[in-house]
Amino acid sequence: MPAIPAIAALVLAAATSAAAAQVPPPTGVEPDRPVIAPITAPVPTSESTPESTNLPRPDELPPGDPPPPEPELLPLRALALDPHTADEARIRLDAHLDAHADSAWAQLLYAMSYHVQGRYGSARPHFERAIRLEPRLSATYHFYGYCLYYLGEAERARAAFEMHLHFLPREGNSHFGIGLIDLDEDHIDDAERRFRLAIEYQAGNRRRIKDVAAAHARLSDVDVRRGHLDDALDELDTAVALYPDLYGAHLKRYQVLVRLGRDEDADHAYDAYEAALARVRPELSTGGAAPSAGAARP
Amino acid sequence: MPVPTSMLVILAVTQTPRIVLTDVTDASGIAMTTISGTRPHTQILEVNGSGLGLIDYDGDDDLDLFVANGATLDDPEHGPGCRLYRNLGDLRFEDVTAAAGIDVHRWTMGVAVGDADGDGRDDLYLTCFGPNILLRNAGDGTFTDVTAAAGVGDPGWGTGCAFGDLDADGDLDLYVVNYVAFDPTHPPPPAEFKGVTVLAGPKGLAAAPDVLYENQGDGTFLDVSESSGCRAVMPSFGLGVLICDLDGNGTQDILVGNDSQKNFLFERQADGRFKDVGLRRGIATNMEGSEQATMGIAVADVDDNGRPDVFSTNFSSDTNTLLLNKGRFFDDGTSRFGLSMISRPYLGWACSFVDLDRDGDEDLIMFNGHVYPQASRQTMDSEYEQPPLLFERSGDRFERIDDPDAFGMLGGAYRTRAAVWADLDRDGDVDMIVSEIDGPVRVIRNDSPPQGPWLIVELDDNRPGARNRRGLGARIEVDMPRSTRKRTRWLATGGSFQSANPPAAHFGFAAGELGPAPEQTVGLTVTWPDGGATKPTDVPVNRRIAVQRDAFRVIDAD
Repeated sequence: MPAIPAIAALVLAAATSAAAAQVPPPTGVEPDRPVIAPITAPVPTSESTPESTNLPRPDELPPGDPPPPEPELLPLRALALDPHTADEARIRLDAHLDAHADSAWAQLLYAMSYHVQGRYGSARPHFERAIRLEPRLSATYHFYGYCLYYLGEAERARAAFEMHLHFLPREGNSHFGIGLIDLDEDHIDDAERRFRLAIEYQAGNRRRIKDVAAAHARLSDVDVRRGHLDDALDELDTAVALYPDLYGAHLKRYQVLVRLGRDEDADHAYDAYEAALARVRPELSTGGAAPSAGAARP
Repeated sequence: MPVPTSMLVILAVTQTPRIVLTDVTDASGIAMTTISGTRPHTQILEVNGSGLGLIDYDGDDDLDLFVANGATLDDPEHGPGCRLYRNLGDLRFEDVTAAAGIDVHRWTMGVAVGDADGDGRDDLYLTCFGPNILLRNAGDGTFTDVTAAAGVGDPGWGTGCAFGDLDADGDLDLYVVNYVAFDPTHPPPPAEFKGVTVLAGPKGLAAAPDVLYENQGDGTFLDVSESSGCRAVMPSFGLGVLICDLDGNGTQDILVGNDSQKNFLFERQADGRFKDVGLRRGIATNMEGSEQATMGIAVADVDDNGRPDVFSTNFSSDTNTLLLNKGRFFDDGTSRFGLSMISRPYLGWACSFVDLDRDGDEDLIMFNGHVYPQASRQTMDSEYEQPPLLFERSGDRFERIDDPDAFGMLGGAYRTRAAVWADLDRDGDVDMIVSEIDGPVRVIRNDSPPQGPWLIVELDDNRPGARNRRGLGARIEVDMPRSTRKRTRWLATGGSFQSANPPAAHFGFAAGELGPAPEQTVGLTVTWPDGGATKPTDVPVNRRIAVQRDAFRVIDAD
C-alpha cells in the first residue's frame, strides 16, 4: 500500500455539534484517503439512502449528541492513529473494552487502529460495532466509507459517506469519497460535482492542502475522460502547485502533456514526477533496485 | 455426451441464460493434480504455480494440452513431471506424455508454443526454476530436448515466456521473463503483510534480468539481451510477458509485467534495438503512478478504435487495470468500464477477453487466488481461495456475472493460476482449461446458447521457407458488409499467466448482424507480421478457416 506524508491533523467529529478531539496525524494511509475536519454549513446531498446497507436512517437516530469518549481513551487516540503504534493501542483497547464493553468510542479507535494500517477487513467489524453501539458518532461513517471503498464495496461505501454528510454536509472529504465512487461508476458529471465540493469546502484550510490538490487531480481525470486535455492540465498544474509531493499528479501531468504533443514540457513533468517519488517513496524511485529487506508486497 | 446435472451450471445474465459453462473434467480423461511445493506454502517459489499450453503437436488440426508442473523445495529437479494430453475430440484427452518422450520433472513454470526451428511444427519452450527447456517437435508424435544445442537454457527462475518475430526477419525469437534470485536452501526470513507474518518476497530478493534470444535461423538462438537494448533497464520482478504490435507500427513490441514494479514496454527503434517506453506510453504503472503486480495480461480492442487495449490482473487491495490504447499513449479506462473497485478483494492471474456467448462483443474472465495461505477477508481483505470473475460486455461497461447458482467455479473458491482458451471441441465456441495450484486441471465446456454466427481464423503462411507459418503477431480484422464497425484481433503471444494460447482469432456475431443465413459472409484483412496483407472477401461464417497468403482454406464447418 502506498504511503503518504504525514497528515496535518485528524479530527474525529462526534456529531453535528462538532464535538471533536484533536489527534496526531496518521501515516501510511492510502493516497486518496483524506483528513477530516468539521465544517458545518448545509448543502444538498444526493438522493441515495443507506437502507440497503443496514446503516441507520437519519430519522432513526436517537435525539441529542453522542456521549463524549471515556477519559481514559484520550491517551490512546494518538497510539491508535499511528500505524506504528496501532498494535500497542489495540492491546490497551482490549483492556478498556473488558471494562467498557459498550464503548462505541473504543470500537471506533479499534477500527481506526486497523484502518491506518490499511487492514480494512479487520477494521470493518469494529466500525460496524461502533455504529451499532452509538449511531450518532459521525466520524465513524466517514472512515467506514473509506474502509468499504478499499474493500471494493461501492454502494455500501456511498451510503456510509452519505450518512456522514447527513451530520456534516460540508465535509469535503466525504464528497471526495463519493466522487471516487461516481468516477468508478462512470458518472462523471456527478464526480465532477463532488470533487468541486471537496475543493470548495476545504479551500483555505491549510491542513487540507493535500486533499484539495487530490481533488484537483481527480478533476483532471474527469477532464481526460471528456477529452478536455487543456482543462485537465490546468487542474494538474493547480494540484502540483498546491502539493508538490502528489507524485501521481505529476505523472498524470506528464501524460497529459505527452498527449498534447508538448514533449519538452512533458519531460520536465516527468522529472518532477521522479523527484516527487524520490521524496515520498524513495524505495520506488530507484526502479526497485534496492527494496527493503524482508518487506512484503504492497 | 451426458453431463451430470450437478455439473451443469448456468450463468444467468438475464432471465434467459446467455452463458453456460459446464465442468466436464470427469469425462475428459484428465485427472491431474499439479503440485507447487508443499501446502501450506512457506516460500515464494511455491506460490506462482505452473502454466498450460495448447499445441497441435500431432498436426491433426485440434489442440492438445501441455500441463507444466512443479516440484518441492527439497528436490526442485524431481517433481512428478509435466504432462502432455492428446485431444481425442469431444473434450476427451489421452495422456501421451511417455509416448511423446516428454520427461520433464524439473520445477516448471511457464509455457510458450512456437515453431522454434522453422520446420512448420510447433515446439514447446518451458521456463523453470533452473535451466529452461526447449522441446523440439520431431513431427512423429515425439519431442526431443534440444535446449543445449539451441542455446536457450537460461538458468534463472523463469516465469512468463513468449515467441515472436522481434527482429522482423521472419523467424521466431524468444523473450524469457525472470523473477528473482532465490535459493530454497537459504530462504529469506518471513515478512509482514497487513500485520500478518507471511512468506517473504519478491521485495527483499534480488530481481533477475530477463533474456531475449534471437533466432539464428538454424534452430539455434543467440542471447541478445544486451545488444538489443532490453538490458538497459533495472532488473525487475518479472512475471508476465505479451508480444504484440501495440503501437501499430508493423513491428512487434514486448510488454513485460513486473511484480510491484514498473512494467516495461519495449518498442523497436529504427536501429533495430529496443527501448523501454512504458512510462512515456502510460503503461508502466496505473493512473496514479503506482506499480502493480501484473500477473495476467489480456489484449482486446475494448473501445473499438482498432488498437489493442491491455488488461492486467493484479494483487489484492489493488485494482485490476484496463489501459486503452490511444496510439501514442495508454489511457486508464479501468473505472470507465466498471473494472476498478470490484476487483479489490481479488488477486488475479489468468485472464482473457473472449466472446463466450457469441453475441459480437468480447466478455472478460479472470481467475483468482491469493499467494498467502493466511489470507482471509478479515486479516488481509482477501481470501486465500477465490472465485473467478466473469464479466459480460454490456454496452460501454463490463457487468459482473455473480449468480451463486451459476457456473460452478463462480460459486466456489479456488487457488487458480493458469488458464487457456480455445475451441477445443470444434463446435464454434470457446472452451477453457483451468489449472489450480496444488489442485486439479479442469476442463470447462462452453455450452452457451449460440446468439449468432461465428468465425475462427487461423493463419497458414504457406510460402516456401516461411518460418512463422502460424503468423504469430499478426492482426486480423473483420469487415462486415452490413456494418461500419470492424472487429480486430491480434495473434499476440504470452499474456495469460505463464501459459500459451493458440494463435487463433475467434469472432462472434450478433444475431442478424450479418444478414440472413445462409448467405452470411464477411471480409477479412490479415496483416502478417512482416507487414504483408491478405484480404479475402466473401468468407463464409460458421467456419474455422486458415488464411494463407493468397487464399484461405476451411478447416471445420458447422
